[in-house]
Amino acid sequence: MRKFMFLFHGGGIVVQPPPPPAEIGAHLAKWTEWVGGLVKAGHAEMGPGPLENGGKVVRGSAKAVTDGPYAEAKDLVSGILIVSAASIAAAVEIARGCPIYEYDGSVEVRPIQDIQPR
Amino acid sequence: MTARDEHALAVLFRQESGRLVAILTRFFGVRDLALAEDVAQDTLVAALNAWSRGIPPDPRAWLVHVAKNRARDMLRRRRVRRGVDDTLDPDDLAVEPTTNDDVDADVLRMMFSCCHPTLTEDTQTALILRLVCGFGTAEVALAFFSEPGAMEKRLVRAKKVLADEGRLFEPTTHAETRERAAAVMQAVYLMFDAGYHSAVASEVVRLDVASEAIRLALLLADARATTGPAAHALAALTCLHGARIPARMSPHALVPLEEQDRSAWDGDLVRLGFTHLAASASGSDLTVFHLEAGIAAQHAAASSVETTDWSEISRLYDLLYAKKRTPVVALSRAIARSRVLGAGRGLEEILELDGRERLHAYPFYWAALGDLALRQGETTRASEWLTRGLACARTATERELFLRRIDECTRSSS
Repeated sequence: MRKFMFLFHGGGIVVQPPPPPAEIGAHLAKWTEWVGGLVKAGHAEMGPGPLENGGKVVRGSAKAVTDGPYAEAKDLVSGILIVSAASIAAAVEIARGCPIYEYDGSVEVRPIQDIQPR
Repeated sequence: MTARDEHALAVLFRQESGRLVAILTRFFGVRDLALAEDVAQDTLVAALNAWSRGIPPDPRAWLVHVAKNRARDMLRRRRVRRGVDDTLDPDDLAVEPTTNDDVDADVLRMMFSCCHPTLTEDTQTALILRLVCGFGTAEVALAFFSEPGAMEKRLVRAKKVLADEGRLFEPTTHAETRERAAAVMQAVYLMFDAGYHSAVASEVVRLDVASEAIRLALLLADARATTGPAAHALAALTCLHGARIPARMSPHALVPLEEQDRSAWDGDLVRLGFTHLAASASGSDLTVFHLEAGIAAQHAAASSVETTDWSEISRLYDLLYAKKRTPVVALSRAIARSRVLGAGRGLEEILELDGRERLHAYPFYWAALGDLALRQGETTRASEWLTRGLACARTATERELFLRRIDECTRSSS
């Protein structure tokens, strides 16, 4: 098994205007089913909690600090999840089950390097 | 997780949205209704983010807590911006208890405020659906056969009326409250009607609108400012009709009364309906709600269409028609009378109804004519009328009802 980091971009958390309340509730149900199913099957681990939308960005040689990130909503990192899968193809298959696409979000699947000395 | 869980969470979020707006409006003031709506919305989105790994044990408390924190931050920032003149103290928010009774009082205050006398009955109802029940503008538009854009404009104008009033309506027991309580009850009645009768596209929205009306009617029957014979009658009527919804709509077709599986009626709601009907019997006022609840009770008490006390129902319809002279009531009255006087007389009466031309676009006018003609064995006339009904049917389920009936005509004539 290899580990992958799923970086969620955009989706229901950042979409504007926000969906009506009942849609948010129904959408949440799909998330709890997806994440809950992965945890139960041992594919996902309860890593760090959910991200807040705002924060700070430190940038450049001057180490300038700005509020942010203010990326386009659809590009903003809206969450992360650590997933175990046999291969990148299997990880991508898992990512395809994510409900984020309902609100034009995307999932970036990044293999985590295995740097154990052999 | 099933579609049922999905619906349960959808309902939770919708209802909590209304409760949060009601709680927050008391703090921000009615002039900042938009701010209260924004904070409520933000809170629900925060829950979407935080709960994807599991729902907390007390979701309501979580939402109220987060909403208050956000509101407090907003007030602090506003205070800094405007100086210390702001009369709202952010710290008030922290000590404010939020028992269910408090929230009910907030919801009631909001309902009364929505029923501003300068707004039309429909707009008052739409505003309650939006602010108190948390329906999205598109869903409210569906319930009223309106376009979302037009409904949005109407709601924006209505919210401005509320804001211009400067403060929320405080329901007490004085005369002004009693006057406005009548409007609040009428709004809940219209809301139930929109859910129960109107032919909107999505059945889920219809059911949700009807259940919200039942919830609010029960609230009005219990609240000190509104309780009384009329409020109990309204609660009885929504419960007794609402009890039939599972049998009437299941699974995907509209089932006529005589074909409904009465064991599928919701027994708890029937019992609750009868409790409120009994409580409505005090005093001398016989309202439209009393009469409609009385009719619904006759149906609920009968084990079949054949054993229903149609002469009592006819009598109640006579009284109702005297108070509410609409073509639809006239039609229902004639249908009830046809059970007493026979299908032939029923047909004659329906064909001579006052205002019948206004019923020509109403599919159930043709359904009633078709049914009575079928009972008379006049399959040709029945088929003609049902075909006209099919032409003005508004939804797939209505169309299916007519197709099934027309098919019966063909089979019984061959």
